[in-house]
This record gives sequence, C-alpha cells and structure tokens, in this order.
Amino acid sequence: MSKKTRQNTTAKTHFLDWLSARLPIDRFKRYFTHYYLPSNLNFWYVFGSLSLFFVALQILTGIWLTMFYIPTSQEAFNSIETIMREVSYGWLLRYLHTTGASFFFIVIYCHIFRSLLYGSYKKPRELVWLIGVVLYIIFLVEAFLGYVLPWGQMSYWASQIATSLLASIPIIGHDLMLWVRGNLMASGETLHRFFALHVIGIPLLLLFFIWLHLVALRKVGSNNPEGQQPAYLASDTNTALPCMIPFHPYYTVKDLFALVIFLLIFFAVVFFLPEMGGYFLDTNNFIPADPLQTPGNMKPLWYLAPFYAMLCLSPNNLLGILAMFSAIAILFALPWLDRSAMNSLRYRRWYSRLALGIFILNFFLLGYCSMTVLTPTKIMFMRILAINYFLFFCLMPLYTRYDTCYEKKQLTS
Amino acid sequence: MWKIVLCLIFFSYPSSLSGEEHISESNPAKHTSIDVTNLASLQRGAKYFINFCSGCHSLHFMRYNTLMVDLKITSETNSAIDNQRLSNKLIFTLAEPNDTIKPSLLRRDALTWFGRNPPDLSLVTRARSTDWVYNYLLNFYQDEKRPFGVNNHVVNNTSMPDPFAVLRQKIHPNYQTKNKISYEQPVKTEELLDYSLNASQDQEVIKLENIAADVVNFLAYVAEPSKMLRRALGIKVCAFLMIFLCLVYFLKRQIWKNRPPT
Repeated sequence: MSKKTRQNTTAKTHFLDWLSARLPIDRFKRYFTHYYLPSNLNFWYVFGSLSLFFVALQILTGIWLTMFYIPTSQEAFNSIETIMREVSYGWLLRYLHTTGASFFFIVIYCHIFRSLLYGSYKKPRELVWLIGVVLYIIFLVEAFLGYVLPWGQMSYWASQIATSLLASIPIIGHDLMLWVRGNLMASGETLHRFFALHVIGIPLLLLFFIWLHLVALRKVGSNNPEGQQPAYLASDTNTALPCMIPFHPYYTVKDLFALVIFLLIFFAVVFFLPEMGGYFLDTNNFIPADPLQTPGNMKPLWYLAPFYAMLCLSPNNLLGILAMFSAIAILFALPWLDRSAMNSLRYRRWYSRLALGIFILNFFLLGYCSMTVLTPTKIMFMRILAINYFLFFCLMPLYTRYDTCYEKKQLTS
Repeated sequence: MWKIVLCLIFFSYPSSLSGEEHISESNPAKHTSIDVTNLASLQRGAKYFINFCSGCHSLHFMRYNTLMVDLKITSETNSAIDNQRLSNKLIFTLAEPNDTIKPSLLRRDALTWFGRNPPDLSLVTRARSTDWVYNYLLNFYQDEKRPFGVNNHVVNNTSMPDPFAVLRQKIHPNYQTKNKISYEQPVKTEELLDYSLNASQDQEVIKLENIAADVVNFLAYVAEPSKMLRRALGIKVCAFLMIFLCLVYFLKRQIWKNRPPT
C-alpha cells in the first residue's frame, strides 16, 4: 500500500481491511448482496425470515428465563411466579416467551401455507421441504417440552399423557416410556430432563437444521408466486419472467417492513392479551401440578390440537398413535404426490384450489374440535375430517394430474 | 345503589367445569366487573381478605410490603410508621413485612378439621375466573348435614365453611346485637339469619356482594400485580411501533423505487 492511500483510509476501513484479511467478511456480505431472488415475491414470502426472528426471540427470552427458573417439581411453579412478580420485567420475559411460541407457530403455519400455495416443495426444492418438515416436527417437540416446564396442572398431565403414548408401541413401548419418564409416572425426573432437552438439546439440533434449510434453499434459489415457468412460456408477454434482484437491500428492507407490522400485532397481544382466552396460556396451568387430580377439561396446545385430534379418533391406542404419526409423516411424501406440471396455484384449476381450501378448513376444525368437550357426534365428525385430511394427500396424484392450466386463473374474476 | 353492583348475566356453564354447580335459571350466575385501578376497592379487598380469608388461605406469592406499595397504604416518608401500620392492621401472624402472606393454620389441623389443606389463592382468579370466585363466595347456604352447617351451590359438598358467616349472622363479638345477646352467651339457632339468596329483600346480603366484589377485585390484582404496568407499557410500545412503521414504509418505498425494471 502506498503512503498516499494509507493516509486516505480511515480507522474504520483500516480495521475492516485487517478483519477481512483474516475472516471471510466479504464472502459473508455477498451471501446477502449477491443472492438473487425473483422480484415478484408477495407477502406470503416474509414468513420465513419472520420465523427466524422468532427463533432468535425465543432463544434470548429463554436464556433470561433460565437464569431464574428452577427445574425441580417442588420449585418450578414457584420460580415462574417469582419471575412474574419479583424479577424486574420478568412478566415481560415470560409473556414474550409464551406468546412468542404461539406466534412462532402462526408464522410457521403461514410459511407452510405459502409452500402449498405456490408449490415450493416441487423439484428442485424437495430437500428444502423435507428439512422444513423435520424442523416443524422438532419445533413441535420443543414447544411441547417447554409447555411442560411450568409444572402446572396442564403441563403435568400433558407430559403424563404424551409419555404414556409411548407405551402403546409394541414390544419396546413400556420400557421406552420408563426410559423417557425416568420414573413410573411423570415426575420431577421427567421435568428435569425435559428442561435439559428444551434448553440446550433440541435448540442445538434446531440451529443445525435451520442452517441446513437455508443452505439448501440458497443452492436451489427461491420459488415465486408464478411458480417455475415452462420454457415455451418464456416468450409470452402476458406472463413475463420475474426479474431477479439481490436479497440485500430489497428483501432485507421488505422483511423489515413486514417484521415491524408483525411486531405491532405481536406486542399488542403480549401487552394486552397474553392469555388469548386460554389458548396461549391455559387457565389450568395456574394451578400447581397435582398427580392426584386430573383436570376435567384436558386440552392440547392449540398448535398440537389437529394432531391430538387424530389420537382421539380411535379407541385403540396404537391405531390412534399411528394415525397421528402418519398425519405428520405424509407431509414428507408431498413433493412426490403432487403430479402437476405447474408449481403455483395460479396455474391450476379448481380441483387443487378446492382441495387446498378443504384441507385448511379441515385442519382448523380438527384443531378446534379437539380443544372442546368431546361427544360421540363430535368424534364421528372428527373422523370424517381426519379422513378428509388424508384424502387431500392420497388423492393428490389423481387431481393434480388433470388440473394444470396454462393460462393464469385469477382467484377473483 | 345495589342495582349498580348487581349485574345479572345468565351464563351457561359447561358441565366440564370442576365441581357440580347448581347455577340455573332460578339461581343465575352473577357477574362482577373487575377494576384493578380502583385503589379504594383493592384496599377494602385487602382488608376483607386479611380479616376473613387469611386465617386459612395463603397468598404465598404476595408479600406484605408489596401490598403496601402497590395499594398505596404507605406514608412514603417513614418506613417505621409503615411497618407499624402493617403489623397493626394487616399482619396478624409473626410475619415480617417482607414475608409472604401465610396463614397460621397448621397443615395437620387443616386436614383434621377440613379434610384438605386450604388452597393458595394467589392465582385463583386466573385459574378459575373472577366470576367463579365471586359466585362461590356468595352461594353458601344452610345445610344441616354438613360439618360446618353450610353447603355451596358452586362446589357441592365443599369442605370450606362460609367466610362471611359472622356477617350473615349479624353477630359480632365486639358489639351487641339488636336482641342484646352478648358474645359470651352461646348463639341460639333461632337468632340466626335465614340464608336467603334473594338479594332484594335483605340488606345484609347486598353488602355481602360489595364485600365479595372487593375481595375478588383484590384477588384479581394479586393474581397479576403487573397488569396495569403491562397495559401502560403496551400503549407506549405500540405507539412507538406505529411511528416506526411509517418510517420503515418510506424507507422500503425508496429502496424499491430503484429496483431494476422487469
């Protein structure tokens, strides 16, 4: 470096030069400035980065909560109330964490919905989808483990029920249940190991899979609301190929805008409605765990409710568990079940749209019904809903083969 | 006046609620509106709770001095006066001002006399709703088959005696009744008030509803002391975010104006 150039550099650029000679800073910057995405991404595409924000929020608030939480069955409940009352802004940390968990699932469900809308699971993005489903399962487990930690009535009995599901597995079930529980019934040992898993075991796994998910996405590039364009349409002026723009600054600022809107809604809930009518914070969880008294109105967590519904449908334990696991497992098969030539719902006929609409309605109704008092009529209705759920996937090879439409069908005429 | 307090809303309670309830058309469930900003109500509620409830029930997440500060029963100048006031008016046990509110009832005595330990009430309004507690307090009725002579419409065969029994009976150990019965003589059954649930005819029961409303208000405050702070902070946070949203929107529009043409 000549003397003249050295005089022109500021301390900051000098430091940055020093740093980039020793760390791949420029390459890291290029991950954002040289990653190109289609310019026509709409608001359904913000939920990925929103979920990243919520993971960061959960980790931060979780670390602070762990500083005050005591993971024994005698002290867990008391430590949470101490956090709520005696720790400065402890109530804020707790509400951020509980509301964050529920909002995280709202974001994830919107994120998955986007993939269903625009066929983001199809070639070449099957692996992104598969890693995403693995992430979804890990998040469900993590959220469930976190729910057990306050050791209220709902926490205790949810852990008792969930671990007793394991006993229905043939041959190894009973021993597996004892191994997971650490005792003959859900107890302080169960709480303590769930704490270890929730705080460090599963987060490490999550971070690895999130990294893998992003790496896989970068490799194949993002989908767009138009879906992949077949080659012969490229010259069609009506459906112009979206031009590609760099992630930074376009999508960083767009995601920031979406984030602020979402934070407005999120903080409105945190500060004004943290219990959300018993859905985010169950009223039964304000009673300390009592192994001698089951609450009359056992409710699953709302984001686990559709899968809990599958459990309720069969009097045979093993069949119920198989139904529940296959409901999640069938998501893995989705990229190969969809035989449509076009990715996006914009280029499909009414079969796919109706099927997706029914599927979403089913999902919500299953979840809602399983959180209410079950009657025989309701169980019959839920069985129909569950069959519908599976039909969405099982019939997909059939209706997607015939529903491709090469002109764009607007949802509103 | 009592019309303002007495808001009759007809609820239909699902049968899955714990305890058998006989809240029905003839005995409708009552609703009380909660206002944790009403300091006078909270102070009265604290007084009634300490007098009628804290003999058996604990509030083991609430400290006496927290109550003092939050309910503004502090002189703010002299902590010696505050502690004196606390020990005279609120603390009837050997607790220090920074202790949590615990009864002096021993667990073994509770099990002998009541059959179960009186539950802690710090979170009862969050666990069961304020209307449930309000209705529970007001629905005691006379029942000779029970050990304490009372039963409850909300929780059938409850092991709890009526906390407002002294009020209903109009007998108070410190002053004489209109029948001039002194507290040294045993109370005859005929002198007891009818446990009437018909509020409009009995002045004492109306006052009882005010008392129960204050107690429930106080318990709602104890269940979540940070509620008012939470809402105040929430307004500020949302206001900030709305302003910030406008700024970010203009930033986004500016950056997207320069995007390469399609």
